[in-house]
Amino acid sequence: MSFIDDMKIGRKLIGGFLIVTLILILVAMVGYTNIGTIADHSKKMYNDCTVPIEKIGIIDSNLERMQGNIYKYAYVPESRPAIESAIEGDIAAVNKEWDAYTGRQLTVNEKKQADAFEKNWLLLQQGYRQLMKDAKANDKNAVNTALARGSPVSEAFNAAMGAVEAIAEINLQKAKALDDESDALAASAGMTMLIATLIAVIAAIGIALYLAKSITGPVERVKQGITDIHQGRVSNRLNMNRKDELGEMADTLDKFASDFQKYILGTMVMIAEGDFSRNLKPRDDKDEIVPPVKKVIETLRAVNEESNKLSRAAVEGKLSVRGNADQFKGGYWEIIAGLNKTMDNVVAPLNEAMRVSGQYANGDFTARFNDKIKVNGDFKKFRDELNEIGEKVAKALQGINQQVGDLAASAEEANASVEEVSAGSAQVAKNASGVSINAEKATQGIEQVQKAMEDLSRTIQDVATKSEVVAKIVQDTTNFSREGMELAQKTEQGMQGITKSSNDVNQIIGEIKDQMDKISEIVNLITDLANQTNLLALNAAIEAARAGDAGRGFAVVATEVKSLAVESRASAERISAMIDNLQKQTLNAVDAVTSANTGVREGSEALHETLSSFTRIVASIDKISQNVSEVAAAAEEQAASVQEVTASVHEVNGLMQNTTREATDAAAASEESSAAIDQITKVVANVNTIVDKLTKEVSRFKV
Amino acid sequence: MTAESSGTVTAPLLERSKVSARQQDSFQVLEFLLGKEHFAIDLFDVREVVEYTTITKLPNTLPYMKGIIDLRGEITTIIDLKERLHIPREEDRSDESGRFIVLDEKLTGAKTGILVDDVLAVSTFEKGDVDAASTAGAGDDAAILGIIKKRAKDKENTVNELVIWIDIRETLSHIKKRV
Repeated sequence: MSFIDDMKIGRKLIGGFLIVTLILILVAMVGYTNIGTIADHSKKMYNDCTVPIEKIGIIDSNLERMQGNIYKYAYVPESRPAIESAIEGDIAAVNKEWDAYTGRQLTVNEKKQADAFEKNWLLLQQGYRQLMKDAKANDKNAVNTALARGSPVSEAFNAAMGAVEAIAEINLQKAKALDDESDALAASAGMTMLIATLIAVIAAIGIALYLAKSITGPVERVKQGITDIHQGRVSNRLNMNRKDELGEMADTLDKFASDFQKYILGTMVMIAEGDFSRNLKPRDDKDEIVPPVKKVIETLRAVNEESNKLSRAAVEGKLSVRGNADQFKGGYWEIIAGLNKTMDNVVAPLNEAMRVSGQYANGDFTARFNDKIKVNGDFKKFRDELNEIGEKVAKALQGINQQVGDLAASAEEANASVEEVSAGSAQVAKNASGVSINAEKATQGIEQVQKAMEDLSRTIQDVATKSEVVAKIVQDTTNFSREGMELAQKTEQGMQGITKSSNDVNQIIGEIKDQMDKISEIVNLITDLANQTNLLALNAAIEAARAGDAGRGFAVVATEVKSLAVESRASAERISAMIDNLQKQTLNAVDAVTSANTGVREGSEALHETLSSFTRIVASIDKISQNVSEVAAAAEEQAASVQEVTASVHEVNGLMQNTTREATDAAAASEESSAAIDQITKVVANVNTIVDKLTKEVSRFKV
Repeated sequence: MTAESSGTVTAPLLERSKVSARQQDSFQVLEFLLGKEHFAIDLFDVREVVEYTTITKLPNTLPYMKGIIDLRGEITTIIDLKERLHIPREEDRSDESGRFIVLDEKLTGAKTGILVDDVLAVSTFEKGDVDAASTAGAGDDAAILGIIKKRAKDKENTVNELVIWIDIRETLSHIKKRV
């Protein structure tokens, strides 16, 4: 919405009013549209409902009149000509109104009723015309019949009337529906108007509020900005970013605040911090802020330069330099003149003190501060103390000279004694270290012997341990071989049992085979007999057939005999097959038993061999066991003697180590004392040197 | 018993009369095996069936003249029917397991027998069981009277076993001429 902020205030206000006016026009258009719709409905109602009802009403009344007239026509002969024309007029009127009614768009229900009416109307017209003809012909019976209740004419009249009433009812309902629709439309139009008006009012209020806010808000902010500057808060900026009159005002205010802060306030801050480097330029002849500030900076810069010159000269030791105070006014003149005076008062005593110190430095402690030079305050104390340094140092130097002479003599004596002690101690140290080296060598030799003995002992123990393990394994092996032998013997017995059983089986199978062969023979015999019988039966059948009717009974017998023979042959063949199968299996059994026998025999032989192997193994193991036991005993004896030797070597080693330790201790002690003596010698020598230097130094001073 | 000899006609009797009436159309044959095929010849051409006995071969005869045997003191000529009908000989079947069908003397004028693999049965068929047309294509020399469709039970199903009905007179007519 920034474009609204950028608009001039006048334009903004006119724009707001224009928008509100537009909204009002929109509301008016909505109302107008709704009124138009309602008018359409009214028109439709008139066309669709009111007009047809009117037509139908006319038809209805015409029909009623016709029905009345027809009675009159029938029973009042003198009125006939007038009534006939009235009826024909009515018929024409009904047809006209009916055409006007059906000329419109009809609904489905209306159409149905209209068809019913048309059909009955035709019948009715015909009925009336017939009736009038009959009446003219004076056929009273026919007239009465036609006018009687339930006659075709009256039925047609009733039906036509019914259809007309139905159509009227339909149209009435239609009218009611249209009326309801109109009511609903009016209600909805009212609602639409109400909603549109509400929306318009809300929109207008919104626009008014927004415009007011867009003008008063910035004015308030500018006022706040000016108040801030008045109270000395110049860092705040309005930063409105608008292009209307208020925006320009705010920008000018911001620019003033920035310049003030940057140039005037910035310069003040720099001066306060001692920086006079800023050069300001007045904007024009009427600028009343910049010139005084510029003057302040220039004056301060000159004072600063003058005092700097003075202090630089003092630092460089040029004490004769003085400042030019006359170029300044008032307070600034006082600053420079005060500095000059200070310099004058400090310089004279300092020069005298410097002279006296220079003589002290050259070793002449007889120099003193000149009494003619006038000194004040702190400088008096400075003068007295300088003089006192000279007196006290001279006195102390005289004492030192005498003491140093004494010290030189004593140091000479000490030096001579120390040299003697040093020589003796060096001799002791040399001897002790010789002993120590020899003892260490001996100890090393003994340690090697001891290690060798220990290795030997461990090896012998290993031999003994392993011999025991071997002995145990041999024992286990012997046990296992004994067990193996027993098992093999048991197996052999089992084998013999198996051999015997399989021999028995063999014999039984042989017997079975013999029996089978006998059965086979019998079966063959049966087969043979069956074949013979079959043949005989065939021949009998042939004979019977040739005999013709006489042989028919015999033929039956022959057929029976033949079927018996065939059956016996089949049975015999089955038995034969079974026997063959059995024989085959028996042969298999015999083979199996034979191979089992062979296996058993081979197993038995192998067992024999195993047994003899076991026996040999047991014998060998016994021998091994004996040998191992001997080895173990020998190893144990050896171990005992080695342990004795080791113990002796241990003792010797202990003694040697003691010796070494003592020798080492002695050597260390003598070395320590030797070192101490050296230290002493050095100290004494140092003392001598110092005494010499001291004597030389002291002699330089004048006291 | 026939229908004419009985005054009262009972149901079973009526059945039988029908059977006998149909007997006019039925015929009896002797069924035998040659190789795997079933053959049949007219029963009235058969004299008897005998077991195999040793055959004495005759020199300088036709290949299907098997030889002669001594049948209860009478010399009987044996014809190898398989050879005569050009049926291939099976290797694993020997003559010893076969049978001789001794034929009626009217046929050949001399005592004659034929060698077959096995004799099965004496059977009665009806003319309706014979299919003569199906032999079309066989030569005149085949001497086939027709194919008999014999109903046999194979497991649960009833199947038609085909039996070749040959005219043994025609088959052996050459021999008759020779004799």
